[in-house]
Amino acid sequence: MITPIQLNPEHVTKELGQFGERLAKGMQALKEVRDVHYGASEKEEIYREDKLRLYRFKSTNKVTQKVPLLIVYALVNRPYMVDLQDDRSIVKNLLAAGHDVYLIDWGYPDASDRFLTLDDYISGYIRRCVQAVSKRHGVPAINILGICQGGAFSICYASLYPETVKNLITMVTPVDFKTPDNMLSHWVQDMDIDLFVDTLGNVPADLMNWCYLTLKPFRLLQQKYVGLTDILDNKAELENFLRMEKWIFDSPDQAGDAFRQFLKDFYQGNKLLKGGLVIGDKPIDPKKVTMPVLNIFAEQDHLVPPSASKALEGHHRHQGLHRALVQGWPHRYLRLGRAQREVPPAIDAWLRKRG
Amino acid sequence: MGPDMMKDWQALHEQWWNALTSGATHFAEKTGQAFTGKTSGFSDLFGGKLGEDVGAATERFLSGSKQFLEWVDRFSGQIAGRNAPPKSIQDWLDAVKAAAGPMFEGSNPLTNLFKSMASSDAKGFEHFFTGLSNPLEQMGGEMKSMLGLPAFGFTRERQVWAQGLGKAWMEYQESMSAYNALMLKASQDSFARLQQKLAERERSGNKLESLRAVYDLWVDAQEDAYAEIALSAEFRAAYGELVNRQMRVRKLVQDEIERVSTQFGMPTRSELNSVHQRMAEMRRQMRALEERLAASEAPLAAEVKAAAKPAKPAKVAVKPAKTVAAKPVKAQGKTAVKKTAAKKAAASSRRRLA
Repeated sequence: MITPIQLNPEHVTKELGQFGERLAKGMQALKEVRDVHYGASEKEEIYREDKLRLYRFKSTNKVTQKVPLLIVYALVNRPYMVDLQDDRSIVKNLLAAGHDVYLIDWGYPDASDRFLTLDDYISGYIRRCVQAVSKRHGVPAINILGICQGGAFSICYASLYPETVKNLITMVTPVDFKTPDNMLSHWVQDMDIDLFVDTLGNVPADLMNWCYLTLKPFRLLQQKYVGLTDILDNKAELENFLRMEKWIFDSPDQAGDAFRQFLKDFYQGNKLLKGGLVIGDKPIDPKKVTMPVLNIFAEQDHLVPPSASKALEGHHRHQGLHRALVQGWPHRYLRLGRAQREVPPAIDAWLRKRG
Repeated sequence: MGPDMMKDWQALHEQWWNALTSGATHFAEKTGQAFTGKTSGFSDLFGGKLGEDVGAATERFLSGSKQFLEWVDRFSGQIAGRNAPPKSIQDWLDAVKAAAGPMFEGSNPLTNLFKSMASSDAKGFEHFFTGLSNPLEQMGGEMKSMLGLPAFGFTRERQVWAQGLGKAWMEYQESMSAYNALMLKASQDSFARLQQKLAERERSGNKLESLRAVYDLWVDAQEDAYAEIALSAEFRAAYGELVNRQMRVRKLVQDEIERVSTQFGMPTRSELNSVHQRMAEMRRQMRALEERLAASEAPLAAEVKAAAKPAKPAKVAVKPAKTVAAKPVKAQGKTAVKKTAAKKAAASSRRRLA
């Protein structure tokens, strides 16, 4: 039987020669494209509070959808991923479809934000942003698109203030935080979260990123950069890569008390699924999420496994729940490539049906 | 495969660097850098001037490539050093395993991987104490025997703190050892995984004809083995304990820093926390008051609006609702007009009431 490894020295020499050439070109290319820009759509600030900014994206297209859409992003990454670049922008595609799109930018918390709680974020910041958008449009309820952790917050918000949400879209949003394939959740179960937050205060972004990298350390710390040599001769691809790198590592620190509750109640207690979650002094009752819900998740998501998002279906049993599966894209890349082509049209079509 | 093939491999091992660096040399010459090939190792290509002014992504790119090339060097050396070319999966596995280096034999291989992260961003649990020497060593061996002794006298509190730190540090080191052992287990399991993957390819006739393909398959095997360990109950306990014990050490160190800071009249973390906590509470109270104020003004505003119904501005206030969604910029202007009109009316009403 022939062994599966068939390395021929001549071919290997050629392979290494090509690798070296790409490496050399790559270093030159990397020097030439150092400053990558992000953000495809022009936007205006319409509300601010502490470090939060609420933006409205300006559209060159006619706005045909009466109900505005507010994007609630996660705290753990910067929200510009939704409008990263011209050909990779959920926002741009939604604007083109005639939606009026708003985005909450949480900013970068510092030590003075260490005591912000989930109640401050959900019943404070999100609620006041929804009020600002509603007031501006003269409508009692708006559409909300919650992404990842922002999706979990949006579910809580919709449960507390259902009269202000016309349609809810959750994207790569964990609902079951204890699925067997959730490595991140597995790791934090035995952690003393109180000691962790009391010691660190705000949780450093570097530490968070490090944890994400160690979910797949060989792939994310080494193989990914070896693979980079394959695209070094393509300036556009290289810029895309660097833009993603910037986004991945441009992370805010996490406000200590909000992190504390998120880890204890969501990850350790799994209370969003199991019940018993209280934000501020208000219990979260999933039955109050009575508006139509579209749940979008990715097939190959190692941060929020599909099973974690699908749990919303058991959670939200009324007929208004719909599902959209994006195949083959890991969490942090959901906004790219195929996902880009599929997600905004799916959101648009679903919202149009509901007015 | 025969002796000729072995000569080819030996030649490859001798010359692969030349093949690889031909492009790099060209680049170095073009940019006026001195690059002397293998004699200076990777330093010229990866650690010299070329790497000085590049960003974090470039550093990682270089680091990733460097590790791959180091593996290529060892891997080709393993094959070239044999009497005969590998003829079985086991032969290839031996070469891959030997090329993995000593880090796979006795320590946590991830440590090496993590150390390769050139950026200061790389601060995991393993890195928090890099550069901080073991306090037990600082205190000398004498301290180790004192950890369990009762403390007394004028420096009693200092003794208790030092004993606590020493004990916490030792426990942290134990946890780190347990964590490293699991990482080592994962890396060792990766060879069994690689063997399985190679056997699958043997059965399917799917050949690996490049170093990158072999490397990629090995990475898959490492990730699979790592994931299995990382999702185990044993790892969960070890990870939790590692983090908790590190936090205890950090807390004790912070306490000492606070004590010293206080002696020198410097503000401490605890004092700032106290201020920030009060600020957060005041912000909440202020928002609540603002909302109560707005709510109490709302009936008055509605009354004013109703009173002003026949007037034109009120009509404008109703109509834009439809056009707001379509033209928000315009709508904002109209809303502002509406607000201004309402405010004027409210002010007038207040004056009347007064």
